[in-house]
Amino acid sequence: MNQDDRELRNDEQRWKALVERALPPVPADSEPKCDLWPVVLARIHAEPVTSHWFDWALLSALIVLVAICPTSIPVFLYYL
Amino acid sequence: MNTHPYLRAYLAGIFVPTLVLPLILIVYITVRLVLAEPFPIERFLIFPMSVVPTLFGLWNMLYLASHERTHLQIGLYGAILPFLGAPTGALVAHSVGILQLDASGVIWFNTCHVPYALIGVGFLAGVAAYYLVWKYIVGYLNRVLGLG
Repeated sequence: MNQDDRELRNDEQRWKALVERALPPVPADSEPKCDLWPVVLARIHAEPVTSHWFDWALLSALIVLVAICPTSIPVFLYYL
Repeated sequence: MNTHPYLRAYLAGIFVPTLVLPLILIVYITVRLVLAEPFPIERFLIFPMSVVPTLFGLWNMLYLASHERTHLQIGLYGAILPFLGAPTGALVAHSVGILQLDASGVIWFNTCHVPYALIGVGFLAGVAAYYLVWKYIVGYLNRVLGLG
């Protein structure tokens, strides 16, 4: 093992020590007590999204605007 | 699911801009690499790829933090964002040289002149779009993630 290899090995060990100090091991009981995905699914199916007529009118106006002026599409992409 | 509410709010906030990013990349690849147009379109990408997602995420975190005091509907809260985002976007576009201001309007890419009256209409359309996006998409995601 030459000088360069020894320095590289020292650097690796120093990095390993630094990372271990910065990121403490995750405790064994840190997992959730139950599966959370069914909770998310229940929320998705809990209440259907209802919409107001005003929002439909607003959406229609936006679609008409984009149809009349297609150059507005890049502007919408820019801000979304 | 009561942990890290602000992280969940941030993730719900960045959802829409993250969906739009591939569309912007498709436009970029088509214009710049396929059609080989001489527009400096990569400068256009800075704001939507870096600032907008962060702005959406932080705005949703702010909504979560302030909702108990303000009781503002999320759609209206989102509709306020263009008042912050539009000047920021214009400033970024101007600073990277894709937007020039003159007496009658703005010029995009040194070719497309847009009068100020049309910018007003566009701004109102932006407010409406943000209102709908925040009310129906971000609001829905907030509810699904247990924030609303």
